[in-house]
Amino acid sequence: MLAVIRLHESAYGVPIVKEIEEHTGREASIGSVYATLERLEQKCFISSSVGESTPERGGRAKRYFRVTKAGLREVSKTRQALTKMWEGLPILERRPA
Amino acid sequence: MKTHPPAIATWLLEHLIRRSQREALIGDLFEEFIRRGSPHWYWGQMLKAIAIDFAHRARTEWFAVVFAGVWITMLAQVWPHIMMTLGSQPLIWLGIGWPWPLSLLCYVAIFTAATTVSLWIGLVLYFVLTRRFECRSLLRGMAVTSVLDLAINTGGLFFVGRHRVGIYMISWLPLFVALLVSMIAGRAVGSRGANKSTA
Repeated sequence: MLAVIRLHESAYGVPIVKEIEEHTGREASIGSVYATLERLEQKCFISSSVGESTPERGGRAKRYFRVTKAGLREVSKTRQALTKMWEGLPILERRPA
Repeated sequence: MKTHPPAIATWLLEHLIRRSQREALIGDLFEEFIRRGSPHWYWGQMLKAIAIDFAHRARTEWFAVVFAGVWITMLAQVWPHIMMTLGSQPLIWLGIGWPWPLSLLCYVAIFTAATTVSLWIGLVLYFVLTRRFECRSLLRGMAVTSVLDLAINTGGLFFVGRHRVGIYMISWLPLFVALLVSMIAGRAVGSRGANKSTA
């Protein structure tokens, strides 16, 4: 959901995957990203619309995603919860064994 | 650099992914393939996408999972009787009496035909019970069943070998998976109007 927020109007499959990979350093498959987006859409946290089809996509249309108000509220709540959980914790560093 | 992704992989995506995701997902894979130019990457993404999609559908379509489990359990119970009936046919013994490897091929062909027909009956019953009896759905389901069943039996023949075919044949798990995948693949054609935008 954060990747969709970061990408604003250009949030569709390929940039979302790239955004996740860049920020997490882990490889993400397009199929798993779509499965997650579908679950978020069912919960009304994001909405989607079909965009233009271009030759570099084999003539297939893009599907753009956008975070809804309910989604933004949920992201905000999660952020607050995580911040609270981290409060008072010392900096966690891996120490040599 | 390749400019077109593997056609078979795209065909599988077009036929096995739900309509709601198909168009955008294939377009994204195509776009990324042009940049990477790696058929290996494309095949990997295709397999992951299909596996994830089927896992999602297996979770949401619990009736299909239960039905496939019940059908395969029943089939395992009556299977000895089916094989005995088949074994009493002189024409079958004619084929099995041929020298190896023809006898083995004949045995596997008979077994595959018997399991495929049994799965087809289960498939028809499932579509009748779920009131989704559409010709296209059924034909797709039957085609998927046939391909998977043939792959399972050929794979069993390849891995288990000539003298241990009997051990393989009591393993019903692959047939359960084959039936479940066929039912879900058939329903994917039947479910219309799932690709509507929610925006």
